[in-house]
Amino acid sequence: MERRLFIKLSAFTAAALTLPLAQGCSNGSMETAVAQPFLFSQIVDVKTINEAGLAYRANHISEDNKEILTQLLLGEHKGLGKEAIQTKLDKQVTADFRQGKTIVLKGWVMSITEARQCALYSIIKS
Amino acid sequence: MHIDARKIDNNSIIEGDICIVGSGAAGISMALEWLNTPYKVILLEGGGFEYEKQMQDLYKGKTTGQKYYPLESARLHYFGGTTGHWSGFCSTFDPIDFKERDWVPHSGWPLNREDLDPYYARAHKNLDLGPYEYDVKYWQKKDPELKSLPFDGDAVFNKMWQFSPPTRFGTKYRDTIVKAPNIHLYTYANVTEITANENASAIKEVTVKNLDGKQHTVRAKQFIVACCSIQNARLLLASNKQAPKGLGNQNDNVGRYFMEHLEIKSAELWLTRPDVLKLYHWEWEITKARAELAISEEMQRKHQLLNGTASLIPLEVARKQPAFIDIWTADTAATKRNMVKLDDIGKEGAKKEGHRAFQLFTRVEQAPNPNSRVTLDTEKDALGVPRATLHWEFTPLEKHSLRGIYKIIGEQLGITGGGRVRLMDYLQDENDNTWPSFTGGGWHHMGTTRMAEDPKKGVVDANCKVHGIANLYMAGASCYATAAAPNPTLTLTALTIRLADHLKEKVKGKL
Repeated sequence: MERRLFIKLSAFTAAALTLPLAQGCSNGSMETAVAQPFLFSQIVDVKTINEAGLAYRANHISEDNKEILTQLLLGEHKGLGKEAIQTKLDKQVTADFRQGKTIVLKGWVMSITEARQCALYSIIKS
Repeated sequence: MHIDARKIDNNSIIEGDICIVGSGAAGISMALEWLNTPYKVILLEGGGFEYEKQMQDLYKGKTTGQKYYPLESARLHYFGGTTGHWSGFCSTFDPIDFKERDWVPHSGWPLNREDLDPYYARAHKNLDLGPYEYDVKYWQKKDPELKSLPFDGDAVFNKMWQFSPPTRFGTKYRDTIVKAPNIHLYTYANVTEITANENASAIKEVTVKNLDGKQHTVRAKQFIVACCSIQNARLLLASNKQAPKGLGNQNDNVGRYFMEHLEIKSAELWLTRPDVLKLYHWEWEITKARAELAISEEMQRKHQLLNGTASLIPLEVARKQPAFIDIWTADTAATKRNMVKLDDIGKEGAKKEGHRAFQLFTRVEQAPNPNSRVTLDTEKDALGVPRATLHWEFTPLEKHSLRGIYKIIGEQLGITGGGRVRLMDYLQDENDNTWPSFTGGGWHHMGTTRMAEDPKKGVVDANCKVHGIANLYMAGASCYATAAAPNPTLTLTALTIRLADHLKEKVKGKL
C-alpha cells in the first residue's frame, strides 16, 4: 500500500526527488532505489536530502564513498531488483529506529540507513 | 464576611483561630475547607476585588540570569489572585515526579502520588474540572475521533490534560467567602511582617499594612502563608527580627530552588499524510481534555531526562505566533493586545482536512537548582518591605532533556512509519548549553519553600509546616520539591486541601 502510494505520488508530488535522482544516476534504477529514503522523501525535498547526506558524509569520512555506502546499505544483496531493494531498506530503516540506531542530521531524527541513503544520494547528485 | 482594612480603626487587633495570608487558588481553597466550621478564619488579601496598578507595584522586583517576565505582571494582586488570568490547563503529576532520581540532583518528595490522589479528586471540584480521569482510553471512549498517533509500545504515551473553564476564583468564590459567617475576609491587608516568639519556635502575630497608612495586627493559632512562590519566600526572608536570616531559613533554603516550566518551541513533527490529530488539539474554552506527548518513566531513567511533555500546534499557525517571553510585558495594555493577537492567530488553526506538519512545543520541568533563587533587594516597596529579586538559572540537564525527549519521539514515530521529527537549530549541537532568545516560562512559580523531611534540605515538612516553627504553614507551589511537567494549579490546590485536612485534625487536638 505504502509502496503503491509512493509510486503514484512520485509522478506528482515526489517528482522533484525522482527527477534529479534519475538524472544523477549513471547506473539507472538500482542506484536510484538504494539512494532514495522512501518515507523521508515523502516529507522533505531533494535539497534537504542532499543537505542531510552532506552532513552525514562530513561526520563519517570513512564512509564518504559510493561503493562503501552501497556496501553498507546492501551488503550481500546487491543482486536484488529495485522493488526488493526498496523493501529491504525500508525494513532496515524501521529496524534501525527500533534498535536506536539513529542520528540527528540537520535536526532530523533519522535512521542510520536512511542517513546513508541521503549520503549516497548526495554523492550521486554531485 | 468582608472587611476593608482601610476603613477600620488604625492599629486594630484582629484575632481568630486560623489566619490565611493570600487569597489566590491556595488561599481560597484553604478558606473553603473551613466553611461552616466552629473556627474563626481570618483571610487576608493585600489588594481589593479588582486589578489596581498600585497593588501590582508591590510585586515589582528585579530579575537576573535567564530573561524573565516582569515580576509585577506575572502575578495578580487581588482577591482570586493569579486565577484572574490563568488559562485553566490541568494535569496530575506522574509517580516519577515524587521520586528521588539519581540523575536529578535535589529530587524527591517526602510523599508520593498515591498520597495526593484523593486530594486531586477534591481539587477537581474547586477548579470545575471533569471527572478525575486521566486515562486516554476513558476520553477516547467518549469521543472515538480522539485517535492517537501510532506509537509502538509505551516509550511515548499520551498524557491527558483537562481544562478548567478557567475558574476565576475571585468571581466564583467571592459570594461564598463573603457570606460565610466564620470567614473574615480582609481586603487591603498586606502582610508586611510575620512575628515569632523570642526563639522563633511559634508565630505570635502578623502585621498588615495598606497604602492608606493603616496598620493592624492579626493574631491566630495557626498561620498559613499562601501568597505565591516569590512572595512566600519574600515574606519569610523579610520577617527577620527573631531569626536574622529570616523565618524558616536556618539552613539557607528559603528562596532557593525557584523553578519554572520551560515553555519553548522545540521541534517539528512531519507526517506522511495530513491528519487532524484531534486528540492533541486545544481550543480556548471549548476543549475539555486533550493529550500531550510524554516520555515513559523507563525511558526517562534510561536516558536520564527531566519530565516534560510536547503539545502539537499546526506548523503554519505556530510559525506566526510570537514567543511568550516577547508578548508578556510590564505594560498591561500592550500585553493584552499581544494576547488577543496570539488568540487570533490560534483561531486560524486546525483545518478540517488536517495538517502535515506540527510544531512540537515543550513544557519541561526545571531541575531543582539552589542557585535559581529569590532574595531581598535593598530597595523597598511603598509599604516598606524589601522588594524581591529573582535570579532564574538553568542547569545543563534541561537542554539535555529537551534533546532526549524529541529524539525519543522521533525514534518512536520512525518505528511506526508515521512521520519524522526535526529538532530546532538550538537543540542540534549537543555541546551547546545556551538558550535562544525566545526561551520563556509558563508563568509558573514553584519552589522557594521546598518540601523535604530533612530541615537541612528544605523549608517545610510533608505537611507543609515550616521546619522548627510550630504553627506556620506554607501553601501553594512554593512547597514543590520538583516541578513536574504539568501546570501547577491542580497540584497546589490538592496539596492545600491535604494541608487543610491536616490542620483540621491538628486543631481538634488529635495530633
